[in-house]
Amino acid sequence: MKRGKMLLVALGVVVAVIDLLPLALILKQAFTPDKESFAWPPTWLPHQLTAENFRGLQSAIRLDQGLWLSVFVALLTVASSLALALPAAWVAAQRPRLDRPLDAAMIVTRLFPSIALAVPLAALFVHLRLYNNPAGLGLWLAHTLLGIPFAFLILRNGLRSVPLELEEAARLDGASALGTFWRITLPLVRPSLAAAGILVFLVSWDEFAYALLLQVTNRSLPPLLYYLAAFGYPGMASAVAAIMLVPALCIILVLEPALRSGVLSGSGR
Amino acid sequence: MARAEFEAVGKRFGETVALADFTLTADDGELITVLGPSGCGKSTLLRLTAGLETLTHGRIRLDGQRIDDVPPHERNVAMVFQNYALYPHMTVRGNIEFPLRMRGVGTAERRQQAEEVAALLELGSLLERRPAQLSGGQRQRVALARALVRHPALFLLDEPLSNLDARLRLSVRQYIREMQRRLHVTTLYVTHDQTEAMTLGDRIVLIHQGHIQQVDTPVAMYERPANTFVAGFIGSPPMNLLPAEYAAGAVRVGDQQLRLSPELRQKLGQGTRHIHLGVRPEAFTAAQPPDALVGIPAADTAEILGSETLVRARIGDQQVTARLFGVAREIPPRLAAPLAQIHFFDEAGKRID
Repeated sequence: MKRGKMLLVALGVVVAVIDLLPLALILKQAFTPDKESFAWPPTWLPHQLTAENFRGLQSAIRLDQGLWLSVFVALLTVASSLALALPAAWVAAQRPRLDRPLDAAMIVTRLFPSIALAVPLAALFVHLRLYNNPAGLGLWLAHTLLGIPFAFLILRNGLRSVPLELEEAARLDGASALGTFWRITLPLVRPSLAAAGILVFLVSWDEFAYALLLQVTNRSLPPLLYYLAAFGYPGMASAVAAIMLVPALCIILVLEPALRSGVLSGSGR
Repeated sequence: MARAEFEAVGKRFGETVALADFTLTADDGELITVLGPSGCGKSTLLRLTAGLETLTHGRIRLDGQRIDDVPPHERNVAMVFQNYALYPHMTVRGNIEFPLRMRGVGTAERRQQAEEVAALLELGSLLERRPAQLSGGQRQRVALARALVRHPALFLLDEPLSNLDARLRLSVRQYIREMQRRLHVTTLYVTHDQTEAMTLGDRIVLIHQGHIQQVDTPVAMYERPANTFVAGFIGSPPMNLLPAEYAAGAVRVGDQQLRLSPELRQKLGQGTRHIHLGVRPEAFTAAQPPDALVGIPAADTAEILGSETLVRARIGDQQVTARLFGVAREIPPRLAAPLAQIHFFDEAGKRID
């Protein structure tokens, strides 16, 4: 028993090291000059620390605009995906017979590579003034398409775990159908909402294909990072990557308590 | 408070008949236990009454007013679910106040009424807790409080004790009975446990496969079961049921023959009939009355339970269970059940007397 636990801890450490190694490398490159990044054999510990990569970003890629666009589009995408998926998931949760066709429909949207869809979408968006939209509204629509299946599947499972008796009890207590949903069901699926929110945020946050093809002069962070890396600035690219980690960590930290709150315990027995 | 009338109430799910022609009148303040094996339709009855299912046919009236065509919250019926269905994200207070809030009762009055019911159910000190922080018995009381707070005319309880441990069950059972008497609220109490049904009910409705088998007081149901199903269901250990042959004014079981009373003979008629005899385990005694069915105890089968001793005995080629009072250290060689205590059922299982 004790031995098994030690083995488990050891395994955990190995996994953590493998997971954290790229992260360490990103941070090291972000805070050291480029010549150290290109050095061979590679050095694992930074020799000379600098904030130069971060300072150069504003003039090189107009960081503030890119950051703003990425955050704005991701938050809008979370809101729209959850708002659209929630009613659908509520209906679907009560109809297990629809699971197969709905699952199939959700997977179909993922069958087409987004890089292929982005081109006709861009052509369409030109007419709707959504192409290269200054507020990224075209990108938001595209990301919502990506976000809905994730949100739908997570919310449907969450809604299904709410015991039917709770909703029946609320009905007997005099709540309307909408009132029951708002006062009973919704508070009980908070963990699922949080999980769906985190996932959809991350889907939009590091989406690349649409971001590359639907925005031209006003780009979100992933294509900007790509340009810096492609044109030989690993330090600045790593600096963007480091910056991209921050909001992702923030949203996980904000929503994580909701994820853990076993709200359903205590209804029965 | 109210009188509940069920008039040929029926429910079908596709081809399956869940409840057939259920007719019953529950008097004001009466506690009726609805008893039956699982899947017999008793929970369907509650759900129909609460409005969670719609009737296939029939009427339900509360104080003369039809309620089966009215939405659930307008029926003045409250239900306690088998697993309590407490709202886990609300405090005990929030749970109890919820039905009042949904009816637009003002904050101050809501508070007062919730605290009154909470005091009645000894929940006063738990009002700010959440259901997850309560024991099973406390959750049960919160569920009762939430149902009682709006003073329902009809109170529905769905197996309220099934999730409690055996010790708690006894005290909660008495508690529910006292509460119901004090509030004088008409109650339907669904259970599959005959002890609960016997001890709690003013009357029992026994249902089997969607059909009412008998409606009677607990004692009447025990003493005069309407058919072999009731006979086998009420009483523990159950009544012994023995196939027997009736011919020429007497019944024959194995090699024993019993002469019947003129009344019974008249009911059974002339010809030969296959009937059933019902003998309660406690009908057997060591005494030897003249007209009696005699069982021969098998060796080493006595189960001494302290307050009683169960003995297996043979009558012809059939085995019966006899029940002797107290600790029976010596099993008598013959156990006899007097004719007066034997129940008679016809070929179809219907009572004859």
